Amino acid sequence: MSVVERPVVVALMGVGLLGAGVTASVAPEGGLVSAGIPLLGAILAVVGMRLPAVRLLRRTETALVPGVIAEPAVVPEPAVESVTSEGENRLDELCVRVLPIWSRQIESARTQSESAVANLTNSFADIDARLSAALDVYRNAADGMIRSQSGEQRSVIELIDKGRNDLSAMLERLRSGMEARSGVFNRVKEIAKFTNELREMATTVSGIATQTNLLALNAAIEAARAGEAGRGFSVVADEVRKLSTLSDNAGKQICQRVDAVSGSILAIAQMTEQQAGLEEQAMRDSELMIQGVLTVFGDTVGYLTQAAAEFQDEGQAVQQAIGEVMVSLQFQDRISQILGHVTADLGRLEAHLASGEQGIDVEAWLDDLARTYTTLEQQDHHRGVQNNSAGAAAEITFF
Amino acid sequence: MAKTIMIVDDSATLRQVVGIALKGAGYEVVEACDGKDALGKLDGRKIHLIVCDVNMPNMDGITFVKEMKAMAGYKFTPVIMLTTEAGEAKKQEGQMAGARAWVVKPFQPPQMLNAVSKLILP
Repeated sequence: MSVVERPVVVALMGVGLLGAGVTASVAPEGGLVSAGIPLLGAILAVVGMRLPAVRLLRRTETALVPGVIAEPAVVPEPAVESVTSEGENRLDELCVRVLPIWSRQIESARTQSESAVANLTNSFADIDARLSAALDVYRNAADGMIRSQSGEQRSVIELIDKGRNDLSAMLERLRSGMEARSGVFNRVKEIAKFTNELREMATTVSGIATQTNLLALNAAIEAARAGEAGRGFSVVADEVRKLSTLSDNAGKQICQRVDAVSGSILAIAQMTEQQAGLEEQAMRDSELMIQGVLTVFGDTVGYLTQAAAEFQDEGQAVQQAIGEVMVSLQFQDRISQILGHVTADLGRLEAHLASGEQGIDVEAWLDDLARTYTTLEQQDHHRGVQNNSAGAAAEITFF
Repeated sequence: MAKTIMIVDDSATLRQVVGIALKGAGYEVVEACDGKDALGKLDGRKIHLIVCDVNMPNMDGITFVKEMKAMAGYKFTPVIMLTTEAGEAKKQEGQMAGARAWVVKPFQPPQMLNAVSKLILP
């Protein structure tokens, strides 16, 4: 089967591939034909069956196609005489019937691809939006932007730092309390020292009372020895002895009380010392425990921060990839337009054949077709030159 | 307050793609599927810029720009034509209609955003 023997089939293949967005070549049995040409081949083949001028053009067109490796001599020019009017009529009928079918198939492919790409775009947009939302949530978690009880927005790291500072301040206050208690303990020990002095003083008082008692006794003896003259002095000596006895008793009582107070103070001092020791140990334990907890928090925050950063990097990479995919999806608009032009031209050909009008100005037809093009690659395909412009970077012109 | 950009294109895909690029840059977006639809949405609301396709059903982009420029509230609204049309004649037609820039599809979002930031109304 050669290009010319079965142009319709080749054209159909070409249109099909064009509809699928393929700009590569079609290979009908070893021959390569540029994707832009099969349609032209079909048109020419259809029209050329009736118009010798077109048949000549068809041969030229095939020869102009770059990359055609099919044998150039496979174009058996059918003799005009061999084309019967019956054959022409049957071909016209075929074209009138098949062209709308092709148009509908192309339109179906176009609308399906448009719908599918629109759905794809929506899905990608949805993924992009969800990813953005997830990244925001994770970024906030990583930065730890959480609302504290006071309603203030703070990061987890800031809160942990604040916790560490608060706990340090609390430990400091506990330490100050302990130091204050230690001061009390020292004062108590000083008081205990005073009690010793008081005991000594009380003992001294007792000693003085004893000495006074002895003196009073001696005075009483001397008064007795003086007889009547010493009677008054004897009364005085007796009173002094009573006073000394009272002083001795008071000194002993003071000693007892001082001993009791001293014992209590020493007991308090001992208890305070024991308590201070326990508190110091508890505070050291608390400090270690708090430091341990803060270290675990710090490590966790570090891990979370690192994980969040990695997640953000990956998320941004995915978002960038989605963005690139969505830019690439713009191909659908180009395809839609190209297929729209092909469909319109098929319709034009169908209308022409249906009108029964004999003869066709091929050059004018092709010029009209070329005027419908919007993209550079359509123009390239029309001329049968290698297409490099499809999907090229955007060109911006400012007026 | 975010500035508003109208996207006029018969391709839902293109509207979506342009919309994502613009929304990502902090703009608000109003969509219209052709020139007629777009004219209906120019109802007095503030539009800071319009991105418009050329070949559309019902009303093409060039006609839309001409009619839009005749509306009092939108006379100075800048228009960027976003189209597959690469021909100089069409470009001139767009320029004559009042478009400020001509972007050939497929576009790259950074280029589009650059053009938008240059032309958008304050």
